[in-house]
Amino acid sequence: MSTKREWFAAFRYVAPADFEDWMEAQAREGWLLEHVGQWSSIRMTFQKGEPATYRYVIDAQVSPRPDYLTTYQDAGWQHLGRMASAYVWRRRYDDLRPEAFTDAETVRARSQRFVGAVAVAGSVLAVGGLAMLLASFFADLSAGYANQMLAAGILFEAMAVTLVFVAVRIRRRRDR
Amino acid sequence: MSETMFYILFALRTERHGYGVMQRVEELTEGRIVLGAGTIYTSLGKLEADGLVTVTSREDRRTNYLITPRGTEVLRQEARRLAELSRYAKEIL
Repeated sequence: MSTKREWFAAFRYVAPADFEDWMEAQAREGWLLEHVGQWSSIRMTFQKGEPATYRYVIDAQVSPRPDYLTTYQDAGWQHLGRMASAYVWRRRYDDLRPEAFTDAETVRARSQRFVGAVAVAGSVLAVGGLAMLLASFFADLSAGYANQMLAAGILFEAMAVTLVFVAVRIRRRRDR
Repeated sequence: MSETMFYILFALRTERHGYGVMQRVEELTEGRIVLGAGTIYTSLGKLEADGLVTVTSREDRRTNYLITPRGTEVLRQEARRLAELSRYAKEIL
């Protein structure tokens, strides 16, 4: 069975609906996602099979209640796994495309959970990067070590700024 | 109150789990409203946090919910508002 790997897909399609549409398009071409793991946001493996119409849904849940999985499964959704706090679901369909979020309020709440998760990650990176930058300038470090701290600090701050753009993009598309 | 919340509270006058609420709402509305799993899960969490529904039991990773006295009062208020709207709506039909 042939497989293909997609790198950084979750970073290329940052808005949940865009990511879902992309996975659905893969399935229509016969590239099926059978499992999602902790590192799938970086490397995602698709297996070649028969073209199929699957509705994919991604849902951020940091600490879901005990009935989270069963509520989806009872409604016919298949749990593919999770990337950090993002649960990935799919459901096969023929005519009517199924939705997991069926009113405006919960669609927005779903987007807001992703914005929150991105904001937390961005804040951690920003604070960590700032600490490294300050240490590189003011701490009593060897020149080589100070340069390493400076480079790491700049990298962390760049990642934090990237996450700000990600959060803005998700927020702009919060109604999808 | 949104239509979704109204129907969820209405369905929870009898103890039900999430999927049971989805089925009951679909039945009540004759298929007009089909609640998604994410919507029902999110809504039940919000209603519980607001004290309008409560968890009655957990079995096989399914959680049963029931409307609280406060939820019943909120549902009644909304029903009165809708009845008033309906009364005036009939005048123009």
